Formats: sequence, C-alpha cells, structure tokens
Amino acid sequence: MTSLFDPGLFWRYRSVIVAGAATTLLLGACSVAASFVFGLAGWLLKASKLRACAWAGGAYVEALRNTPDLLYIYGLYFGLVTVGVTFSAFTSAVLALGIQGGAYIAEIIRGAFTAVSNEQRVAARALGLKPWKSLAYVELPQMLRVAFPALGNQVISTLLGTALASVIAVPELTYQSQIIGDSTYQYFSVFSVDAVIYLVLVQALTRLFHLIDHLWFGPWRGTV
Amino acid sequence: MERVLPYLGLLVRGALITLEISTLSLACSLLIGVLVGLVATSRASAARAAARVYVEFVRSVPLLVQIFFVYYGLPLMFRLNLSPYQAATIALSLYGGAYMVEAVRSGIQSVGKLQWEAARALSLGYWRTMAHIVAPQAIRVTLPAAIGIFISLLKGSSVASIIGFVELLQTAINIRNSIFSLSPLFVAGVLYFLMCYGLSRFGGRVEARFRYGAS
Repeated sequence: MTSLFDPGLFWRYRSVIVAGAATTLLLGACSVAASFVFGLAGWLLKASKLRACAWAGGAYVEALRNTPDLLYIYGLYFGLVTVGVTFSAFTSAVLALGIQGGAYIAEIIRGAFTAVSNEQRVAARALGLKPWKSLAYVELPQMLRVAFPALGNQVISTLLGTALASVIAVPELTYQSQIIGDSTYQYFSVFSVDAVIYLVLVQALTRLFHLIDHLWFGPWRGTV
Repeated sequence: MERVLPYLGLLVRGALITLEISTLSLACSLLIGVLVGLVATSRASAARAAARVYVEFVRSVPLLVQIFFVYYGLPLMFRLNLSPYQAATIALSLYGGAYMVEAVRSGIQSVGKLQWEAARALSLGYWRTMAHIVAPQAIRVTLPAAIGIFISLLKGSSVASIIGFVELLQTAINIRNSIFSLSPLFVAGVLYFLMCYGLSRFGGRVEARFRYGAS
C-alpha cells in the first residue's frame, strides 16, 4: 500500500498539471468574456421598450438562473449533434458557461442601473449630453462602481464552473487530475492538490478584486 | 419530441430523486450552518478562524472537485466504501453548509448589539438571549438565504451525476443515449426550472413578508 499523500507524484506530473491549470485559466477567461457579452445583451433585451424583447430578456435570465450549468454543457456538446450543429468541447464549455454567467451578469447590470439615480440622467440631459454620451460618461462609470463587487464574485463562480468542462474532456485542471488519479490510484493526493490550486487562484483573484475596488472606487464609496 | 413521451415517468422519478438528495443535504447544511454559525459569531478566536477557513475553502473550490474528493479521496483516507449517493450527500451537505454558515452569521450579526445589552440587563444568559431574542430576528435574514441555498443544492446535485449517481440529469442523459434526441435534456431543464423557479418565487414572498413585518 502506497502512502496516502505522495509529493513525488506532482513532480513527475508537473507538466500535465501546469498545462491543466493554464487551460483552466484560458477557459475561465474565454467564459468570463462570453458571459459579459451575453450579460450585456440580456440586459439590453430586458430593458428594451419593445414588449417582446423585454419578455425574451426576462425569460433568458429566469430560465438560465433556474437550471444547472451542467445541463448546458451536455446540451451544447451532445444535444445539438442531432440538429447538425457541432461544437468542439472547448467551445461548448465556453458557450455554456457564458450563457449561464450572462444571466447573472444581466441582473447585476440591471441592479446597478437602478442604483444610479434618475437625477443623474436628468442632469446629464440638462447639460446637453446625448443619451449615449450620458450613458458612457455619466451612468456607466457609476454603474461599474456599484456593480464591481458583484461582478468580481460572478467572475469567480464562472472560474469555478470551468471544472465541469472535464465531463466533456476539455483537458483542464480537474480533467488532468482525474487522469493522473486513474493511472496512479493516488486520488487523495491528486484531488487535494487540485483543490489547493483552485483555492490559490480564487483567493488571489479575490484579493486582486478587493485591491482594484479599493484603488479605483474607494474614494467614492457610498456616494451614489 | 414525441419520442420522449414514454420516458416522462422516468424523468419525473429523476426529479424526485434530485429533490430527495437536495432536501437531505439541505437538512444537513442547516445543522452545519447553525453549529458552525454559532462558532463563527462566538468570542473564541481560534474557533472563529477555523470556521472561516472551512467557509473560504468550500467557496474557493469547485463543487465537482469536492465531490471527487469525497468519493475518491476520503475512502482512501478512512478505508471505507462510499456509494455515489452517500458521497454526493456528504459533499453537497458540506458545500451547502458553508453557505449556510454565512447565512446564519449574517443573520445573527444583523441583530443589533443593543439587543444583547438589553437582554444582559434583564439577566438573560447567552443561550436564552440567542433562543428568545436573537434567533427570531436573525431568521428574517437567514431564511431567504436558506431558500437560495436550497436552489443552489437542487442545481448542484446535477454534478453528482458525474460520479454515477442517477438523478434527473443523468436520467435525461441515459434516455438521450437510447433515443438520440435533445428532448430529454429539454424536459429535464423544464423540470429543474419548475422546481427552482417555484422555490425562488416562494423565497421572494418570504423575504417581502419579513421586510414589512420588520420592527
């Protein structure tokens, strides 16, 4: 019987683990980018004056927030084959995590938009700013300040969600850990280190977001 | 779409299994949440730090990795055998428990310090103050959060399919593999939606009721 924790294992498999972590970060970055695109689109739809668009936006947000992300990973990867559309595993994961995260981001943006008081909009109009300029120079900077902590949390949950991409064999960290575990039976060591890598990534990101929040928005906290 | 009709009963059964494991995990999460939540708001700084580590750890590691760790890792450590159902229940309980600790903690902290001082002046001890004064007020914050955690557990239980636990999502995938159609996944999505959306509407009503009932 080998020991419960085998540090030598990680030296032997270092290149695989590093490659896995890199893929996790890449997948995370792409999914976060996709979720911002979907989130912005979802919010615009929901805020639209056209009834049908607003309804579609609302349906998107509610449907996606109340169903598990794994469903979309399977659905996009296996499901659409029957309709003649195929995505690579990586693309399926990015799209699935993107549409899922987008629903949450749409709600965060909506919340931030309501938090910026209407007087700001009226004042911007009174100064002769066109609506889009008012949005770009007056509203968006204030919205970003309100939304920043929530957006940071959303980025982190999307990063954590990338582990699910292992089910469709995207070679990210958890998938690699499973492969190493399957060939060495050192599951305890492998998954402890896997967990610690995620822990370090997430804690580092959390600290980074706090720092940015403090540096950029600290002086204006509580002024909206 | 009509090919999925004979399987509707199976899918509903899957939904019930999802509901069952989520409810069981929710009950365990509540237990963990209350116990660790009390520790997290206590004056014992070492115990508080330990509670903090538990919460941060669970919130910084993907649920899938936690489930793998419990299913593959723990049996090696303790020389025991866990079924996918047991492993998933343990992992989901620890996962929900960490969020529940935060819900309980923020509930307790939402009750002002003056309440504690007033109770002290009436010569009530810690437990009686907690039970009769703080808990009834803390629940206004904790209960809506607990409903949110139940929704996360319902969705999170789908991850248990990866270690071979046949719940709603795995049922849908098994059916898909035999009839080659997207429809079982679609039906599963509708069932998840009905459960989670219903709960979130219920949560919204609970929250609104407590808001107006507030002192």
